[in-house]
Amino acid sequence: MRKAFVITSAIVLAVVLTQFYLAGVGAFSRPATADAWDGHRIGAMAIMAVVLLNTVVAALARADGRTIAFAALPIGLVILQFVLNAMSNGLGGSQDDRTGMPLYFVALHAVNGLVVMGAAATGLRNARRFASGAAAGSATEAQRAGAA
Amino acid sequence: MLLVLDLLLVVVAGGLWVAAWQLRGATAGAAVLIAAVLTTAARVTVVALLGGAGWWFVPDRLVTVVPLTLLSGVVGVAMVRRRTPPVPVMIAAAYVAVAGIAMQFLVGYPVTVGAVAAVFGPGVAALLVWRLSARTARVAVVATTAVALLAAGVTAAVGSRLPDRLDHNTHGADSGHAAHGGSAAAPGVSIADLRGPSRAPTRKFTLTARAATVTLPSGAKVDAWTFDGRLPGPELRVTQGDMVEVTLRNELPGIGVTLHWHGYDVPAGEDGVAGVTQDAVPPGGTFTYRFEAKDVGSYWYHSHEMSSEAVRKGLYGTLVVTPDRTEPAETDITLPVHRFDTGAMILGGSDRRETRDVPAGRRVRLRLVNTDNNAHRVAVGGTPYTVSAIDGRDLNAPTVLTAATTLRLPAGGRYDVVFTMPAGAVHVMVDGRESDGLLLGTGAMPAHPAGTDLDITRYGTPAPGPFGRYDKDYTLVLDRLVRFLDGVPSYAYTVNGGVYPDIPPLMVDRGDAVRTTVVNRGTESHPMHLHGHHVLVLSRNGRPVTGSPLWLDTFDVLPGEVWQVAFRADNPGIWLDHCHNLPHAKQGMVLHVAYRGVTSPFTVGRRTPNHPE
Ligand code: HEM
Ligand SMILES: [Cu+2]
Repeated sequence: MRKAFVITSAIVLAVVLTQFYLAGVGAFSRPATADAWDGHRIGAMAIMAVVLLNTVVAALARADGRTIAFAALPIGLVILQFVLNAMSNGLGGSQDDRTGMPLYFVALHAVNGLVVMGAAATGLRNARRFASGAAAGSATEAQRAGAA
Repeated sequence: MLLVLDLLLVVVAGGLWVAAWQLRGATAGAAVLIAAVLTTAARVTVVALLGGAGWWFVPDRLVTVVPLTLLSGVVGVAMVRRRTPPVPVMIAAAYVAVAGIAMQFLVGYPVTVGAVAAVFGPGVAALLVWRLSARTARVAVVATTAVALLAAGVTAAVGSRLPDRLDHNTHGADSGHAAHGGSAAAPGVSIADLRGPSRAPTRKFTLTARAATVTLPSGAKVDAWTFDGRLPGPELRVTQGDMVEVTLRNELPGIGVTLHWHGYDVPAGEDGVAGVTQDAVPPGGTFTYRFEAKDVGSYWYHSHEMSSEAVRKGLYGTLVVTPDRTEPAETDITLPVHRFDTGAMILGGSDRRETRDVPAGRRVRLRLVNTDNNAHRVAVGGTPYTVSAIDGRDLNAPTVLTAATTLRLPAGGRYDVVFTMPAGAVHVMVDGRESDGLLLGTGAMPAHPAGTDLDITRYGTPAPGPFGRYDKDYTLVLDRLVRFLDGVPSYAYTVNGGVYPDIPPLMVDRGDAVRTTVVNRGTESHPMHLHGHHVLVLSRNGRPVTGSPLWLDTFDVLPGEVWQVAFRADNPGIWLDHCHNLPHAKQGMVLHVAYRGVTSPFTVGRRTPNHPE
């Protein structure tokens, strides 16, 4: 099960990387259409799904609470991606017209994307450490470092 | 605004409570815990305010806010006594806070027992696993929970898939898709027979849909889908009393097309919705629409096959019905606004500032039409003016406005602006850009002071309405929730918690007075468009309309707003009722108003040529 945890953690990282790639597909497609972002939107759902799986696997592998919580963290962060977008729209932004506050708000999306990536990378490191039988204590330290 | 704040608070509270549990005992933990309690208190306030706006906004929120408030109280008491709150309380708070996020994204309104079970079931299961000593019992609990959740998910995913063919009749009811519940247990009238009058046409038009690269006045090129190779399509101008016949020919490569008469209430069989009132016209095919020009006013037409893509790419034009054929005493200019994927924006046919000479003293009528998915803000500088009609219906005694008022034109909506040409120039400005728009007359560019939006519910003079009592009363709660769309999980646009084709139709009988309350729980505006009817606005946010009676076909429900509207069921058919932000429609926000006894031989689904959105 520990090995499976490493594998699912690696899948999470791979899917997050793909999500960045899909952001590129959306950004560089010409003519620029909203449909070009469909892949990126489905990618977000895919991240949620594999992170959920990864969290279950972490629990089944009997990882410690913080390792499990860290495995689950990307779910919250991806929800934040949706929320930033929705808040931007709520503040008056739209697909065609976004300046000022709505823009500055939603621009955090790219930064939060990096945080998701960081969480996924740290999650993989945790899983490997956990699998190689390192003491739970040192894994916890690694998470602290990752969170800081 | 409250809804936006609540969205932020629910997510932040979830994060803080989980962190507080994880950091329990640590120094940082105390600070996080205080933040969590304060965030929860803030959310309680916001939810209370939302409750004041209407019950629809709160039941799902109360499900988690109430227990979380109690748990916060326990935590608060512990902290005042300088004790670390007990672990079970912290875990429970973290769980409930996260459940709040799940309620927000998965459940919405209405709250069902099944939904609450799905959100809290795993928590109960975890509690059982923790308390149960027998290993087999633990395994049984985990397995039951996992299987139940998985089964619910798979059922929802599979159930959302469109079948090969989905009709709107009793067979539709067997499909499990509620929007196609159908009505005709008894043999009814087919929509294919609800066509316009057969007498000889007095005005004939042909519109040919074809792909074209159109060069705009600025020189910019647009690869478009067009009617007759033009952007916008030809303006159809007819006179009251005309018998109109429009032949649609399709020369698009591999793409179907229809003509929907937006805002013009034609017989159902002429409404041009692929899969509901006709089959999409295939490449090489034709379809002939016939209707009587009865209602004077400003309308537009567009394809209702893949409408989200088709309209955006240029398959639209305007329809104007004038009162009589005498030499018009006014300069009458139709100004559809449209934005293309390239970013080019045209007002009428021009993406640059267009100038027109109009003699002083002449009456001018500008027909503003929003053909886009989002609202546009229009300002008229250089002259006092009135908004004489909205959505093709004259307003009662509209008062004079100035450049300090802006007109927020919702997606799909039309405003008629009327004024007498002054000695100086008049400028029609769209979305605050002075560089384009329309400049009438000669002289210096008029000033555009910063303005406030016209509130149409307080504009003009009241008049008694036709409705006394209501035969049907419906509520539509609009939201954004995670749902399966044709098998794919999406952050979809929902009505009463469902997405097309699983939103039950509003069933009406001919002659009914139908009242509908439309509530927007989301953070985006939804310009709701009912086909085949105009609705009378009764109230907005509980405040009755105090201006002219407003008969609209597209009304823009902003986040947090509650609109009450009414219509007379006087045009039998199966009618779309959908958001005219067309990507929202494509992502679920579509239902039908169905007359009892009306059937349709047309179908949507995988093995049909029809994709209305
Ligand atoms: C792990 C990283 C990321 C995740 C999980 C993520 C998630 C999402 C989600 C869920 C949406 C849909 C929002 C909605 O429909 O309301 C979205 C939209 C979007 N994302 Fe990301 N995103 C990530 C990274 C990025 C990056 C790095 C960029 C580019 C700088 C980006 C640019 C966008 C844009 C422009 C949209 C709006 C697309 C549209 O609707 O037109 N995203 N993203
Ligand atoms: Cu909408």
